[in-house]
Amino acid sequence: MTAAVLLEAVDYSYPDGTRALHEITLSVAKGSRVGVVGPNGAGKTTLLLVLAGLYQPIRGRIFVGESSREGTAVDSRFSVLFQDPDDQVIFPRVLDDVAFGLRIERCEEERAQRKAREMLRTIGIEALEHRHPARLSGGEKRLVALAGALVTAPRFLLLDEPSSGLDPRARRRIIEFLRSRKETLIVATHDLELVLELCPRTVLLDEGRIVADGATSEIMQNGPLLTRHGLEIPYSLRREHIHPIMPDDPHHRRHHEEGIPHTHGA
Amino acid sequence: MVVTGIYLVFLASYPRTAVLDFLPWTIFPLGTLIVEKVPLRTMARWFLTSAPFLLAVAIPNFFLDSQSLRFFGKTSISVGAATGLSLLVRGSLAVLAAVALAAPVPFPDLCVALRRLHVPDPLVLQVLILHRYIAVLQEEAAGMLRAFRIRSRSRRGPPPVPAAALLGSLLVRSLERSRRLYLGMAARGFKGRIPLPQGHRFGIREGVYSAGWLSLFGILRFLSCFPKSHPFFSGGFG
Repeated sequence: MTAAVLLEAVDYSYPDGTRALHEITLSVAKGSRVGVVGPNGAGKTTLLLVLAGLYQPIRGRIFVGESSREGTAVDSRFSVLFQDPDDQVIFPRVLDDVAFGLRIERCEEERAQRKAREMLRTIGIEALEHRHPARLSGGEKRLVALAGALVTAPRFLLLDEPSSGLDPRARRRIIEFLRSRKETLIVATHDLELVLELCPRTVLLDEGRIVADGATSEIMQNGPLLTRHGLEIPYSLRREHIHPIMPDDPHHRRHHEEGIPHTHGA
Repeated sequence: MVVTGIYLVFLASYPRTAVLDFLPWTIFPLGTLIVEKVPLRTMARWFLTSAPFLLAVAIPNFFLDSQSLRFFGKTSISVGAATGLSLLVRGSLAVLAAVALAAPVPFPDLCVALRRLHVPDPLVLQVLILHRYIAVLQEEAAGMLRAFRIRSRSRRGPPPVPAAALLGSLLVRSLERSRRLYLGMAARGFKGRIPLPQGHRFGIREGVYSAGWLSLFGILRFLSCFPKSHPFFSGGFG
């Protein structure tokens, strides 16, 4: 499979000298979905920003398709979904914000509005068109930010903690939507369950280095590896989840014997 | 926006003790507010927000110029008080005109109008960003204040020193936010000029609207130049 993006021994340091990425070598195939996991401060967000061209590596090369990326310009083939949608949704009206990227590309006004509306419809948030971002819920804001990121038809979508602060329904919605996309997805997150569902491949990052790169199902079941790097096996893969301890709970047993459906917190 | 700007210039052109001259000038803001069905709550909110500033400007005048001015019959009023009253009336009309302009028009359209009036791009960008992020900043400030109250077990606001520390912290957060905001915009292709929706074009309807109001303003100002019997009708140009 051809590499859509290739990083070769990429180093990145912050202006204060803190080294954030050490010799990152990573190849991502076209149309694939890769999860980037790791503890706090591992360099996940920095990696995304370097990939997008927002941060310039101090060493190493980045290839997008066949060509090496030159210069310091932001790469328009990449779209980023930031962790906090308030950093991204800047216009006081949802439709204008989604059309922002198209207007930057000097798209005709009528076409920009039409495409923005189409994207809102695709994501299922067309009812928010005239709303002010301050009056949206966290989940709605994230979907608006996603619409803004996708409307310019990028080849790569970089997602930073796409599920943070979302309720289960909004989380499910965003997972299903992302699964249906054709773009190459790179997802940096602490949400290992999300990675399990969305990304067949996982890259484990710690202290700016890649410490594991492979099939998600294998990495997520490697308890010692995950523990060594500040993570733990996802709940859905744990043995106690497969053999739940709940039947020992007297409350649960009574319900079970009486044939009453068990409802937590009801 | 141009009509509102010119309206404010006309208000400023009256002599400093003019009060009753402004009665017919309520037509423009009140008419617009009624036609646009702006809720009373919106008007009240704007008035309450601007009231401290209006009072701060007007009240000192009551004590500045003690020369007396004939009022009704034998009663008199100081020139300072008349000036203060005039400032209050002008200020209130200016606030009403601002509400009449801003409430019914979507904010991006106001920014488009600013750009058409050749207001520099960085300024338009700042106004737009300020309007969008003022709510985020308020939310952060409210969160910090709530956290302070919970941790200090006090219903009052913070005393001066912690308040200064909280303000400093808010500033640092704002700077951090602005850095992330810039990254967010750069990721979407921003290179210094913000693209705004086209907004409405200046057509015949807009021309008739502007010409109508400007003519009325001219007539009102012209009529007010004639001498009146009452000092509150100051007329003239100063």
